Amino acid sequence: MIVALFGVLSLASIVLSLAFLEVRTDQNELVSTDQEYHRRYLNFLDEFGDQEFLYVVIDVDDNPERAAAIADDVASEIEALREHVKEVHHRVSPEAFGDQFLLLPQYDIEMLRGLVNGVVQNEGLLRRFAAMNRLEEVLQFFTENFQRDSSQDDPRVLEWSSRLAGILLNSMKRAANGEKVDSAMDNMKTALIEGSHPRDRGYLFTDNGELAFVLIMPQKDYATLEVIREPLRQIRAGLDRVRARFAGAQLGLTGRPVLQADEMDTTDRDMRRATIFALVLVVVLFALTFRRLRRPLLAGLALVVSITLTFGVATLTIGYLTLLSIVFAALLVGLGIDFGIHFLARYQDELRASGDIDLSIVQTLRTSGVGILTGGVTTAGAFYTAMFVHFKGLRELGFVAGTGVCICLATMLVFLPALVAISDHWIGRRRPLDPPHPIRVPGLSQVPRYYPLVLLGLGVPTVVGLFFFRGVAYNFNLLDLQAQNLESVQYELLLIRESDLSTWQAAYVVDSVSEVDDVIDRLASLRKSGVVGEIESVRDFVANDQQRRVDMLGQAAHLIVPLQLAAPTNAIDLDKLTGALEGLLDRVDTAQSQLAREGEDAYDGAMSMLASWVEDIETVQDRLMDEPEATLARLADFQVAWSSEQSDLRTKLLSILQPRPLTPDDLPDLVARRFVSERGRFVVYAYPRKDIWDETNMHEFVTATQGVSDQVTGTPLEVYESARMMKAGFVSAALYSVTLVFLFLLLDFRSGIYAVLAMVPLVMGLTWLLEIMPLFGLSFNLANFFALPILIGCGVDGGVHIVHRFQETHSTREVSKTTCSAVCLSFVTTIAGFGCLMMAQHRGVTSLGQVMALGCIVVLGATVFFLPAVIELAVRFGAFKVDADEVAESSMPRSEPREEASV
Amino acid sequence: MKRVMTLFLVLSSMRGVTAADEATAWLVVQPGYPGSTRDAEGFMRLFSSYLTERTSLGPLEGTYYNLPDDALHKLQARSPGFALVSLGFYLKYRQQFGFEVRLVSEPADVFLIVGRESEIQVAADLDGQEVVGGPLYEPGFLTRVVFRGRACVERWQARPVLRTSRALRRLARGRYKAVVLTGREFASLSRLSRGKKLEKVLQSDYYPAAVLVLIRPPKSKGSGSQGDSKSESEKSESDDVGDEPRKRTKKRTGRITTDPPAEVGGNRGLRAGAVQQVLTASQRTSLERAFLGMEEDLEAQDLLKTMGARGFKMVKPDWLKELEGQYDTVEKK
Repeated sequence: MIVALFGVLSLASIVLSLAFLEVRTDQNELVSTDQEYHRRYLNFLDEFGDQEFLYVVIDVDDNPERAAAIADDVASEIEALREHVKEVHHRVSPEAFGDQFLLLPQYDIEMLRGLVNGVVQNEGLLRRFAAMNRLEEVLQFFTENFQRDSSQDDPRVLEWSSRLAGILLNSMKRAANGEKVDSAMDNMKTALIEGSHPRDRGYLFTDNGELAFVLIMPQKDYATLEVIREPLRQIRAGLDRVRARFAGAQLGLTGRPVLQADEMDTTDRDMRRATIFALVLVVVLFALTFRRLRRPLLAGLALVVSITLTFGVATLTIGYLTLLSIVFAALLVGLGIDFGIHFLARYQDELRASGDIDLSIVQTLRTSGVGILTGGVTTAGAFYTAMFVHFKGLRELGFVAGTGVCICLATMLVFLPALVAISDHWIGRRRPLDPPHPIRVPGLSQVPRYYPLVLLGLGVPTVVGLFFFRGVAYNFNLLDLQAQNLESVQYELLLIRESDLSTWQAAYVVDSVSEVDDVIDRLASLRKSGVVGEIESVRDFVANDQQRRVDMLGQAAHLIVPLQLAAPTNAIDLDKLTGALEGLLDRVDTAQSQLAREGEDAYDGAMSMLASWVEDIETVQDRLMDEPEATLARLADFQVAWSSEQSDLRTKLLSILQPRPLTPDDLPDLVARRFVSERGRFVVYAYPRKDIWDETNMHEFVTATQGVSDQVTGTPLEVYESARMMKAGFVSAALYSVTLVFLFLLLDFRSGIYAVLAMVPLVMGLTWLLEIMPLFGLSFNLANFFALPILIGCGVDGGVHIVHRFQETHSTREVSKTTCSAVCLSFVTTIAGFGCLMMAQHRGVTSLGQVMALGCIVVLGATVFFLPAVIELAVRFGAFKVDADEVAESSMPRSEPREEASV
Repeated sequence: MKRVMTLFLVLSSMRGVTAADEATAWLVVQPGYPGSTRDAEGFMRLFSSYLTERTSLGPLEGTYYNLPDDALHKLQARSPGFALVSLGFYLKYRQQFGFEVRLVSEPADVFLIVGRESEIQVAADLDGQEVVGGPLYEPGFLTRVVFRGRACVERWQARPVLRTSRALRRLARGRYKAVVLTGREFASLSRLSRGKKLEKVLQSDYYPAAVLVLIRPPKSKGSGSQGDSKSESEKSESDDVGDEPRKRTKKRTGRITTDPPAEVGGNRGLRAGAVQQVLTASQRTSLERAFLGMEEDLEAQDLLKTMGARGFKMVKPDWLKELEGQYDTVEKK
């Protein structure tokens, strides 16, 4: 009946949770909206959208053009992944700003002045250029232009001339070859717009130009643990294809979502491996101690039922599990099985003594059942105390884990006995039951006899250790928890080292552009002091000196307006054209030879540009030599098209030189979405200059940015506050649970001294843990801090069982021999379970395994050595009414422990 | 009267200032290098200005020559106090114009004879063939020092050219048999030969691209080692120089003189009425310091880059003597 009931409930829970239980992996779900800082962040996300991008980081390696080409390739690869990617940004092209692009702040005022001066000082050249309608004239013009004493020229004018010459020559080559010629003027417009560095063409580079970026917003699926598992797989495959095309290219993916996904992936793999190892170890331990596997397997089945029932209750109560509360299953595996071990250990003792199954079960429940109940309730209470902390994620974990422990308790005290009874009766009907093998750890029964030695041996180092105790360090750095060989970690570190950027940034939401200026002004001092790195806002696009720029450009426009354009002609002279080509080739050869003398590399910008000119000129020369008439006819057509397009160029130039001021409303969608909300509000981003993962730096950054405005939000603030709250939550939960555990013990034992005795292993164990951790170079962090509530939960368990057994037998020797052995087994299974985590790649998981294993070892030591010795001391000092025989018995040396059933 | 005197004094002092500010001439002579005197005006202006700021020579006015004849005409008309010249130019004209090497440029570079892959087995295969290159402006230097005993330029149809890049393209197309160029030029340009493989036929030892020479026209025949032994080589290459009467200059310290030229040997130095400048000891020291300091001076980096140099260092007299010996001895044979 009981088994059937639990079976039905378990099945129902499975169906229920499969149908209705949500897994919410969004970290925002961990923090309550009661928190002002979190509400602000959610509002920000609501208004400006998800700003947590993936960053493809490209190492420029002194070749910005190649980096830009790689960025182009990455962007086109990723854009093809439409179903996995929402947005890809690698460039904010100046062309996106239309005729207003010269008003962009990236073209500083000096550059504009240079441009205007270039036009003003070269008015004659412009006029001459405009009046040309023959190719030979244009070629001659370029030859002369390059021949002049270049040291007196504005280098930008020379640069533009070079680009224009390159475009003309390339177009001439295509025309001479009979190929389709793109609009040369279109190319020229592009050439005028483009700057020498890809950053001037809108590619995303760090300030120092060391790194280039592509920003990716993947489709996020918060129903999966990794959130971006499939998009990430596809994006990485895309990056591999780019790497194959650009040999030796250094590029990698990072950003908070990638780090989290990689973390999930690593921990998932680590956990799976650890679980398999732990399972094998536990089975081996059971086989060694129980000498049979049937009953431990029944305990395992009961544990599975407990977990499924907990899933069902979680579905009915909360309805979802978060990144934190989902770990309850792992906790129950570690803690829940202990209840079963205690039950089975005592049951086997009883069965061995009486041989009656039902009587043994009743006797076990009557005796050890009380201890199991107290231990379970205190453990559950320890978890429930987490419901009083501010951190929502921890609150929910506390509820789910506490409820899980209660369910486990019920299962182990109701379902497991029923299962054991059915199983043993069924076997008993077929053949006599094998006598159960008692669980005994040799030597433990001698502890009470040598209690002074044990007390001194453990007590003195503890006290000495307290004198030298300087506390356990707390490592706030989440990046230190990650596996360090991960690409995402390596590129995050590269970003920190090589740039003023970060994948995290603070955000200020304000109502107007003037408030944007205000925030930027206030951030200026932080930037100066090195706390803040780059600052991004709408001001990166909408300069605050618009009118000055418009006026300055107007001066150049005045000179363009009266330019007289020559009428197009198809008249072309072979000799003059050949002469002009030869003259230009002469100049190019001279320049190339000079660069060679200077040791310029053949692949350097100038050298390769000149080489392409040579190729173009010689191709035209060859064509003119091979088929002069046809080539000349094609070039004549091109000449007409070229001249005709000059009118377009003039119009275009005028519209560029006479722009209307750029306002936030003119921003292209891509930019507007990042800096201006649909409600018309603005955001200013401030990037940390220092390594934001470091606690000191993060504290400095958060405090400083809060000093600018208490309305600041963003990932650093969110992580900082959440981590602080989580840490405080763990500490509070630990303190609450210790208090609550003690109250439970008082209620259970109705005796102060027994309650205190039951707490001894926990208090001593934790003290030893804190003393020993620094010796092993261990520190607390956000991953292993979680060990504290677990240790409290399971640490008190052993003490409760021992004190209960002592209450029952008043024999310390008996307690040491029987209960301590069972406690040993339950702790050893826990140590094995958590110890396997030490093999993990994820350093957070490794540290959790280390602290848990170490914690369990010391708590076990305190439980099976220190507590019996303390009880023995108390007995000697007459704290309990114990038979004189018992005392004498425990102090008598014995060559062999008696094998006897528990009473 | 007093006002007239005052005006005269003012005018005199103005004239004095003008005279003192007259620019001291200096030369860069790099036969076979690309560009022209006109092309290099901007560079020379910057270089002169740089040296003016860092020496005690007063205003300087430099001129660049890449054709030896032009440089010789300039030297014969006005002997500057110092010059940066190619090693070949120095060896050939050192006695005629009284060159004294103080510094050499770094890094040194090799000279190469380059041909199409597998076409030329030994340098002798080039005899009677058309070979071009910038260094061929100094054939004597190539035969006697650079490719000493391994190649004889005089046996080729050698044609000096100023544009190495074009020479290499034409070599790749089969127009020439070989090109003579520096190692640095080859490293930079050979990759632009559009898939046509070029290979080195012969490689020389390392030589500095330029030497800084002080110019002190010889006092008289027989005074000083350089003035004493007029080399046969100078006689043999005198066709390049022109046929002006030889001159002998009288040393004057620190200021411009207009001594008549004097004949010092088989060749001719300054023309009659030529201007001669001789640097004082302190001027020489400041000049050397300025050149030696260029390597560490950020402002000089563009200048050095244009020259294809990293800096300058003191010349090793033994090394120079050996080179001079090679240049002269071979000719005697």
